[in-house]
Amino acid sequence: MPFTEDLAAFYTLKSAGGLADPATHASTTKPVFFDRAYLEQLGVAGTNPVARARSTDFTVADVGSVIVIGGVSYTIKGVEPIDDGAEVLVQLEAA
Amino acid sequence: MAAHVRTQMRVATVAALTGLATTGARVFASRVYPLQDDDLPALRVDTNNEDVDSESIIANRVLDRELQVLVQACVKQNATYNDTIDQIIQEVEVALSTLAAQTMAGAKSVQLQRIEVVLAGEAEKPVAVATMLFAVPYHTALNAPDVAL
Repeated sequence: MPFTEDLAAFYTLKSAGGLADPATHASTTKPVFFDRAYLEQLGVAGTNPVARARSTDFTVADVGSVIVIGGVSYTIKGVEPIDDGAEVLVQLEAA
Repeated sequence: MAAHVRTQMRVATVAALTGLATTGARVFASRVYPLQDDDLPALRVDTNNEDVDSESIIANRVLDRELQVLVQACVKQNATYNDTIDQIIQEVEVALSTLAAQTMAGAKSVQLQRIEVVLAGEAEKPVAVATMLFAVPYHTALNAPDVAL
């Protein structure tokens, strides 16, 4: 019997009792898990903003488009598949 | 006793590079901690390796020395980071050519030897760092490294 992932419960917005953050992209609110860990590059301090999302919400075609998370605008600079590709890691560039 | 000529040259380099149009007062000597956003665009200055040869075998002989002075231009911005890096390089070259003409701390010359640019795109904005390597030859007596001859 094939296993079919159901990400709906995982990707429920906090406003609906779930855990996901709302992201505005292409005039649509999409559930994501946002992270912004410290990252030092070439002796310069910075962060690595990323959003984990469903691959049905983001594809490589979205690279270059704007996403707003927590009131902050980012440009999508990459969309990387996670594991089997049901989810993606959206790489973000700050404005 | 004055400071070692290495120190004198590092101090003179920082002084010559402070106040440039793009990097202003954001010039850091021997910085080991990461630069923060408020520090950028910036210059990092350090005195690294040094080749030393003896010019004679008599006591108090003269040492023929060549110090590597490292100047790093550091930028973090969304676009045209390479243009900014090139602009900073231009300003540094001009400033240090003036310094060379004034024989910095007894240096015989200040010669740009190499420029290496590294770009990184993992952070929230692109980071660009250009490393400029200057060779600074000078001479000291064996027993007086604080006085350039």
